[in-house]
Amino acid sequence: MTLFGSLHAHYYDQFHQTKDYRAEVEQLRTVFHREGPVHTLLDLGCGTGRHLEVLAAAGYSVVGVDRSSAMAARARARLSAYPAEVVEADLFSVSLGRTFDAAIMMFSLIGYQVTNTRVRSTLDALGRHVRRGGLVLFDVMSAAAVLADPGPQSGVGTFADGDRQMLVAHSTVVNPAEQVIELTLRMWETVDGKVTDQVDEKHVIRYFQPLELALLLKTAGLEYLGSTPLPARPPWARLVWARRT
Amino acid sequence: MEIFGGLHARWYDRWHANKDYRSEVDQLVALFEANGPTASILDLGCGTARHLELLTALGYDVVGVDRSPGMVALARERIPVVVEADLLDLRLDRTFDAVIMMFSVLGYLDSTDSLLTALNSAHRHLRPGGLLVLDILDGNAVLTHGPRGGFTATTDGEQTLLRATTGRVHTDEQIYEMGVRLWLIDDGRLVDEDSETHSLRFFLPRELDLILELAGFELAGSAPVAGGQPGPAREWSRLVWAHRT
Repeated sequence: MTLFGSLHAHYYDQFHQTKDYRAEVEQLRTVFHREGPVHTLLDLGCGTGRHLEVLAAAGYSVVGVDRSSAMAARARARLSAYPAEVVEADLFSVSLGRTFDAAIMMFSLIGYQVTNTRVRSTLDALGRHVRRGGLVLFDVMSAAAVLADPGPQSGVGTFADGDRQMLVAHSTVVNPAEQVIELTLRMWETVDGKVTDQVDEKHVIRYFQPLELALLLKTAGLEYLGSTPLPARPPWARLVWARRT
Repeated sequence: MEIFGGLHARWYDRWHANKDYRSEVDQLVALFEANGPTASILDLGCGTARHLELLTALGYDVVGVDRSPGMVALARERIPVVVEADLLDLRLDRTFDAVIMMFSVLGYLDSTDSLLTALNSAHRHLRPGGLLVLDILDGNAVLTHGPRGGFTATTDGEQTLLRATTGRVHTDEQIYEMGVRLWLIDDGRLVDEDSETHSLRFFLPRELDLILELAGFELAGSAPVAGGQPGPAREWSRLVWAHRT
């Protein structure tokens, strides 16, 4: 799977410029304060390190892991001012030889795993990296929110970077039989009106119910504690938190 | 919990007279035949044994189990072997070729733990490779359509039973709550009334797959329940079948 390759990585931050990382991190910190203490934390699938940047600036000791070298490089650059570490590795196989007070996995990465087997392996990976009593936090697509408004959604966005332009068309379809949303992205990069790159991506993301998540977490030795909507549009994503038992 | 009490139990068969048991049994038999030799069938939560009555007539060796004394008494008028017991701790010390749990028996259980306990009970009463068939309320349908109310009037001689239903969706608990109010009119006079609440858990496909796998079953397929009875609890139900592993 070559999701989040170089073209996507280059425009990733612009594409997600409206995402409110600061508000999401405030939600994470609210949970840390209530259920912690949390001083050290790991971000599995850290992307370009936007969450970690805000967390590092707030004084947390952070480590990020991403398997995309393009993403890891951007995260490393972003976190260079902080005592942080970014590891280029696959989250299923990564072994850091230590545990953290909390592990986070954002951007619906759990939902990208789709099957029960892969979701459970992912939760195992999260649980393996936190101390006993430590916290696991991640966001998922909420079945109730997705299915309440399941119509096809589509749109186009344009982004500029110097003389380069990027056109992104996206459409979302709900597939209830597979319990997933299918997000299709078509991207064209142009320089002076000439197409210099074109990439199509299809993102298949599972949505979940609360009792379903609680059971999946339990199989990984994690206790479901709670969830709350993320400040996102459309309001499909929920932050979920659990404790290693 | 006596959810099928009083007026409801006395009228149960009359207002389900329209319910197409024959279609459901045809659907069950097609599954049994596709699964190889099937001679013996256990019905966990058999109610008044309408399914088993038809299956007996087709030559199957059947046993019904229900914990409601009222239901068991009615079931014994239809088939010879009915056990009054809670299906969760049932131990018949024999196995069957197929186990059925119809009319949302699973969805009435109030926790994931008791659901797994019920499936463990089905497991210990099935031969290896035996077939489990059950119906569940489909979360995709519930969450897409939202709550629904309804009204029916059933006349039997001088008596008419009025039945009004209301619906509520509890997304956190994954419960579809159906409120039922009943009025009995006899010879132009209101002679009895009753009300009850049914709380039915709804499931998503991958969630059900996970639950079955954890209980030692392999999901084999699902389809809408045959017969097409009106009302959310039936229209939104799916028949699900799985093999004992």
